[in-house]
Amino acid sequence: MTHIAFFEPSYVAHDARDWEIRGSYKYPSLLGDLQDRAEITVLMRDLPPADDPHRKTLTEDFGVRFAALETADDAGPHAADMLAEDYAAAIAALAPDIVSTLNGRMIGHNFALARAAHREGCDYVYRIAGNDIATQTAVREAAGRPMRGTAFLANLAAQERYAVEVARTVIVMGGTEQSRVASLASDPGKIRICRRGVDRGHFHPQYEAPDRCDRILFVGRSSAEKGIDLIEAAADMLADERPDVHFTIAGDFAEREAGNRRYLGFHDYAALPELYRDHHALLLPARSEGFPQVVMEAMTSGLPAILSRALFANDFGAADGVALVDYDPRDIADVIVRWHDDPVAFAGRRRQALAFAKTHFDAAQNGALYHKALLGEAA
Amino acid sequence: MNGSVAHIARRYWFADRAALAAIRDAGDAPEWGAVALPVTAFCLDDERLGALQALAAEEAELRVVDARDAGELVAILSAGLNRETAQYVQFAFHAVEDFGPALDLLGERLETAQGQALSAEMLAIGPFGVSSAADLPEQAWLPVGAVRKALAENLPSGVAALKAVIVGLIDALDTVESKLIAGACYLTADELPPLTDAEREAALWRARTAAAWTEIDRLRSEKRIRAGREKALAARHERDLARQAERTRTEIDRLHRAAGWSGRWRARFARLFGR
Repeated sequence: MTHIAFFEPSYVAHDARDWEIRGSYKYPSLLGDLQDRAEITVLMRDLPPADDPHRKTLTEDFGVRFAALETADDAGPHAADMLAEDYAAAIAALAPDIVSTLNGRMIGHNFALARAAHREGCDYVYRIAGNDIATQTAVREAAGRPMRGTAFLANLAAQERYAVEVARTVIVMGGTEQSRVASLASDPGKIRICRRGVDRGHFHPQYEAPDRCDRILFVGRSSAEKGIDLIEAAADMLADERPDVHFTIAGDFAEREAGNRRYLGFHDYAALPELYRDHHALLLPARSEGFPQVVMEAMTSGLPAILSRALFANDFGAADGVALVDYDPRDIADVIVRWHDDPVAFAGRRRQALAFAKTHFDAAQNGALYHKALLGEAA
Repeated sequence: MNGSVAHIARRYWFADRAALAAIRDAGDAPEWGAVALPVTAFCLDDERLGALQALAAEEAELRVVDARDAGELVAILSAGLNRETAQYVQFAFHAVEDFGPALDLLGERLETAQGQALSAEMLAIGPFGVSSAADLPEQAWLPVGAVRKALAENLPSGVAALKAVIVGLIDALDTVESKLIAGACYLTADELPPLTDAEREAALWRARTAAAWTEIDRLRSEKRIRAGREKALAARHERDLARQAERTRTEIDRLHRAAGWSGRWRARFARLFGR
């Protein structure tokens, strides 16, 4: 049987939420029934305790064998050789046929894994969860570090190209990323779109469509790359223009209310469907993303989405239940006003979103595509 | 990691004062380390010949050729090409910073290129950072036979003419294009866009800041690696102590058992024969 080894981030005891998301939701949804076709090893520097409930579920229900990885786990440019050596040693010991990652990992880790796989002669599948260079640029520039035109960025670009070149298959989350990665690949034919998809039994729309669009939802981290500043600016504009419109900003926020905005903390997987059903439209004007899970969850729950044009222009057409906007609060506010003022048009958008989600975001369909890409089978 | 490029390719580097000054002036250049690519350096001026000859004494991959006489350059180059054992050559008119893993992968691609030229992408390093570059001759890896033929047909009279012949050859050849970034060229001062004093000052500040962040990255990595090593050593020490304790316990058990056995026999003899 084919043996696949996934090189994953370390378990961190004091970051219970990270492990909960990975262990209870992300890994199970990606692995699905893969155990029927492959042996699965998950490697981490520090493993969750043997009696951890998610570890037990992954072991017993998803056939995962956990293995400790001896490494400093440093993907920085000065430790790249060492990380590649650590990964190569693990590959030599386990002798997998395929190596990859389940969680989206930074370029440094993928570069090291690509080098190790190439040296040890096994297949490497590069799963690109998002544009890491754009994310790192946004995060580091926000911290005051110059990025564009620096040696640091040049190194990331060289590492990403290498990993794409070595990969037997490159998995991306959407059309925008497919287009970006195609420009980096000598052989663009090896790129496949495989989203994680949504369990349509868990996420479904409320039975009665809302009369009007006046409850706008954002779900995600509090960071500049997610466009929180744009959401808040658009909300400020609409406070006087459309006082009936309210915004919920949910993620890792301290719970509070500020004018027409309500900030909420973390919602676990079980609580998410209710959050979506309690709102009318999703707003995600992100500056850097792969293909966010929240977009798939929201649209499956019947929420049309307002998304950044720069990131999603290759993923959605005019009749797919999505409005594409520029990084401009006025542009965002105008879409919300249109949807709020015209219930018939909004109802049409909602129907489009549901239809698109049904066709494209089903977890079972996407899971099958992912497993085929992973195993090197034709789509 | 594989070092395969060394078996098949060689760089012909035309080194002059400007190329080496470009290395010196780069404020934020990638540090990709040494690679095992064989290099023939054609020294074009007095100043650098001694320094490169000293370097060649330490590095087996570097061969230094005195090419200070421009009139002799083509004859020296042709003689070198006639003796060349590598199948591919790269003509470098800039100092090059190689990205080793990509260069090795390129070496593997050259092995299967079946005589076709191969190109990879190169970045451009200036005094203030790194940018993308278009159409550098250093992007191409050329079959030696094609280079010999081109030089025989178009005898260049100096480095500029040689560069023109090589660029013409690159345009004429059927080339396999790779998207790998194989390295970066240090642009010389005359290739850089002019900047005002204020722009220069801002760019310099930015490059220094970027370099300082890179140094912080290096120190953090060093700290993490040292901490990791200490943790591994501590774990090994703990394991050794545990094993030693287990061995000691086993030995004491054995001695106890032996003492019990000998004690019982001593008592038995004492009962039979008295003390």
